[in-house]
Amino acid sequence: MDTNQPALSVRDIHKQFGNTEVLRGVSFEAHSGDVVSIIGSSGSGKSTLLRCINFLESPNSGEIVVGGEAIRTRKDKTGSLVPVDKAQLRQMRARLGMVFQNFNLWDHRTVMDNIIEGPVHILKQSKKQAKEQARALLDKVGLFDKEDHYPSQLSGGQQQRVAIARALAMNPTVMLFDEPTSALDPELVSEVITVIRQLAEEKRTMIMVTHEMALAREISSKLIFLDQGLIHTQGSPAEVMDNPDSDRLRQFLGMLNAA
Amino acid sequence: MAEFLNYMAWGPKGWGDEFFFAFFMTLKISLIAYGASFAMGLLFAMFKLSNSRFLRGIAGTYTTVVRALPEMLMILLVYFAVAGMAEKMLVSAGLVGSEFQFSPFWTAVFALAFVSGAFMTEVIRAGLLAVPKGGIEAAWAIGMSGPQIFRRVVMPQMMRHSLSGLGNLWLGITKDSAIVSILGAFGELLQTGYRAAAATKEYGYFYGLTALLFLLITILSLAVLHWMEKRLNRGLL
Repeated sequence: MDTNQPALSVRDIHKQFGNTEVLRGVSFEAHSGDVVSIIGSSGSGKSTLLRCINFLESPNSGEIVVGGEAIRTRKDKTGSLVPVDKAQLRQMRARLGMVFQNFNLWDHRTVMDNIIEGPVHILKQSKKQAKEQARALLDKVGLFDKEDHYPSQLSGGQQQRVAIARALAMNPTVMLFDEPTSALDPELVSEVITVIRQLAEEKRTMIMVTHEMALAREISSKLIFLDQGLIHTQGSPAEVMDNPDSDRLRQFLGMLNAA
Repeated sequence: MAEFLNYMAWGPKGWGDEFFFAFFMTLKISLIAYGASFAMGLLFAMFKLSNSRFLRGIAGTYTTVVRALPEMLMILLVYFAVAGMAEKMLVSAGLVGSEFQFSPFWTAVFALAFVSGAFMTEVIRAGLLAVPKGGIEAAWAIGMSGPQIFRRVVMPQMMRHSLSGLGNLWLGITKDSAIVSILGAFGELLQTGYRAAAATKEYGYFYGLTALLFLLITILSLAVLHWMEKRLNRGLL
């Protein structure tokens, strides 16, 4: 991969649900090692933006480029972009590791099986190799002894750490985090944050939608404030948070402080 | 007592071999019909959950009509009317010769599957709806294909949610297999029991034996279902 090439380019993404324009032309880039945090009030379109990156939602227009390769699309008759080549889309998705708010582990499979599913059945690694890697990842997220457990036997924080290990097992170009701590009990948030912080220190490229302002300030190389489907402000965490340049941003940050 | 042992002799003089084969004939009819019914249930359940109003209409009509009519009437209709129409269509399409007829055995099995398939559709539909959407989304996000997701994520969880309904339908179909005896002599259990009882006038003995053999099928089935339930529910609290 060309090192000057951004790991991820999001270009002029528009998304409509019915008559509501949720995203009205959003563009940003993340270079290798960047941590981009997206903040904004609920309804600002930040989760939709993240889901457009791996086409869990189809944007109405725009382009997603991962490591220099664009997801090839065409317009369908409803005006949504649809992938031209499903195999290419699957390859691109495999390079975008997604971590969900509600973990979304496969309940019927053990922790180990959850982690090796992608490497074995999509990347076609041998089971042995995938298991070795999975154990290393479980060690990294502090769950070395849980490989034979089922998700229902784990706490929310543990499940989310397994979900992070599952995404990492694909060795993705970019990690996407969709409010990874929002569904957790307060006392379980820190164990997940610790793992995310560690990934940032290892220079993982990450895009994170979050309400954890302290975390966003600490690890982000870029902070994006999304408002009414547009990037309202972007910059370093200090630029965005310490000198809010508009009432809307001040209002948003103020609401968080009050809460 | 010796008399009853003689009745159970193997060969032309006794009924032992008849009941032995009847037991397996009932199992065979049930297994084939059940397999076909499962396939139909899966297909129509997907129709019911599809975005197409046309497919939903077809599946809705099928499950409503079949579940509304008495099973025996439904089986007679499929056997005499539907199979006949299908034969005529195949003949006029030139796909088969004008002498073509479905074999009575397969028509009977299909009729059984057709009726059970309507109930199966509902059981599977409910099972599919109970599969958590998040896991399916995670599967898309990791780069799985549609068929992979169906096989590796949806099916195992659908089975878990549907198992009690699937088990009931299996037990139902082993007993409904007796209804096909009105369509012809296939040598399944009930008909064999009837023949043996009529020939010997030992009604209590032979109907009792028939009942025991049906009970045996159920007991074996329950053991298999129990094992499947434990297997499928791994990881469920």
